[in-house]
Amino acid sequence: MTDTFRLLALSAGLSTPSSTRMLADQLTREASAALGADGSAVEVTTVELREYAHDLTDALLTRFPSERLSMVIEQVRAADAVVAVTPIFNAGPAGLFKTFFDALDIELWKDKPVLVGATAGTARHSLAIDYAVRPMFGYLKADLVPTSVFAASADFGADTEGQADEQPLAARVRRATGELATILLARRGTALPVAGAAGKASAADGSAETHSVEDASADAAPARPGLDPEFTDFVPMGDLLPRR
Amino acid sequence: MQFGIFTIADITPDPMTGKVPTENERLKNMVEMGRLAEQVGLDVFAIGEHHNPPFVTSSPTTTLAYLGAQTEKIILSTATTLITTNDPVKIAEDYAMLQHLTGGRVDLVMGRGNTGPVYPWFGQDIRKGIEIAIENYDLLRRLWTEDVVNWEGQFRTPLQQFTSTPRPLDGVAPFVWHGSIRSPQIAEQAAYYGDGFLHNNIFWPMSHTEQMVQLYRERYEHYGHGTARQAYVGLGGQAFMRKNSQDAWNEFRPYFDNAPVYGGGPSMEDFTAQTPLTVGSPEQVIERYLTMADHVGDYQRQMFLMDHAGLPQKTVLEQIELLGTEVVPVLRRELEARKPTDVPEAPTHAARVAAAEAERGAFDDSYKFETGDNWTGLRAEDARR
Repeated sequence: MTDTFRLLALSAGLSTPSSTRMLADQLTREASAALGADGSAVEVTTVELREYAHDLTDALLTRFPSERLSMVIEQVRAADAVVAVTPIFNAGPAGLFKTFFDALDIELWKDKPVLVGATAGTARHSLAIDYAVRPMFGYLKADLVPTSVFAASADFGADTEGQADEQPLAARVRRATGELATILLARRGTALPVAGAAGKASAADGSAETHSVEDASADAAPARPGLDPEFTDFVPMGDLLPRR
Repeated sequence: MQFGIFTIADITPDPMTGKVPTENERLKNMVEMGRLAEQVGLDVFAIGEHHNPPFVTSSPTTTLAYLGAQTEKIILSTATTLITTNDPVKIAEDYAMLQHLTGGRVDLVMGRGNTGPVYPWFGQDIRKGIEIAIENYDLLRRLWTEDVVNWEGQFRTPLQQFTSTPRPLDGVAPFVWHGSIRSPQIAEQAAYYGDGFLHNNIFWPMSHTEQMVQLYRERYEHYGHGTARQAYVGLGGQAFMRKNSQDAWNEFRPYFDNAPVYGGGPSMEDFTAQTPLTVGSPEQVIERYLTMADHVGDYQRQMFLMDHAGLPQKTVLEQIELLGTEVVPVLRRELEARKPTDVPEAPTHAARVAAAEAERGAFDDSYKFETGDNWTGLRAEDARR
């Protein structure tokens, strides 16, 4: 096990610069700070999904990822946690965001800690996170951070309480990234020093999870060197044919 | 090594003219392709089986028999035969018939079919696709190897004292390949029986293909049919050629951009880099296909798709001619030269008959069933007595 936490941020903003990217950066910065407070090293990689828009569409049609997209897939696989941020369009996540998940193998997300963020023009879209983004991660069996962060345009200009929202963006980012740090440290068996009772309970659950994950991955390890797990998924013929 | 062409018999508009071939034109064109394939020295002609538009090849043995009557040497094969939705009894009968009528120039590639709705049209359930493929094929083998079969299974009515007629030519069943792109279970099935495995990799990167073939080879050895490198492997291929590489790119691009499956997706540059599709001069096609054995090991059959995406028949025939006269002779020479002697040749009926005779002596083809009356089975009134 490496000592460095690998955070992967996925930003589905379509413009450059984008407020979605700004939120992704804010989340990874605060998550790094929360993890760093414990002395852990953190390595952040940020992927702008717009740079893979063609690769993603191609993968949907050809059903295999391009070499460029395969590198992102490997980054997801290797990440200790993913920060996934999307604009809200037409009451749902950006098509680019959904396409990314549609084009990838669902097994990739199982038990992966994911912190969700979303942006939109006004706070009236904020519940889209709950009804249109979080359900997908439930289906993917990701380990969702309880707090998601929504940022409306006004949030970026309002750092003090009461200016835009009851809770300023910075405070909500701190809470969500603190929860992410608690999950990640618990998986490594070190609870955050500041974690309260709730933090400890989730730490206990987290370490139990860690064990089961390790066992599962030992079973799923390719029986044959050189073959990816998908190629070992078959039943020996002797078990399928009736005895004669 | 065997080289051939396969067609899925799709009806696709020519994007340059908007012209859509009629069903009749497409069928006649396919037969013309098969005749030319033999003339230019190709070894195999295979057709797909589909039961829905925009395809016209619902009855492969009809087409193959018609072509068989107009050819002498070429092996008639399938791409693929639907082992799931066809009754194995009918497959056993149809392809044994074809064997007799064409002097044994028949083999089959088994597939499950990739069109979900086809299953209920033939009374089957796609959720059971793999189980049906396993059961049906096991029965099919018995129907070809045992003169009288008693059988009971899940997916068709039981058989009692059933004899599939005609019996396979010379007592040797057609060679079977199992085609699958993504299902390791089918590689396992092919290996279990010591049959061939054909990976139609035309839309897939080699990193995927080589793992499927590796699995099949390892399991082939596991089941004791020979060493891993002695297993029977076939690959798909796709090419568009002109003497001048740039001409090939210019001419093929509109067909690529509008092709079913990948049209509207990756660029031709990306797709030719990622998959076996090769667009260029015959020399470039040779260069590319000489490398396939580096990934999957020395193999027995290389098939090419030459007639899809609405290419006009004249162009398709030119492509087949280039393939047969310029590409395949070099590939054949080079690939056979590199093949170790313990890797078997591609299967042919003659070789399989010779092997069977070495094992069990000469085949006695005298008729071995009851003759002399017109008894066609129990009538209800007979059963009552």
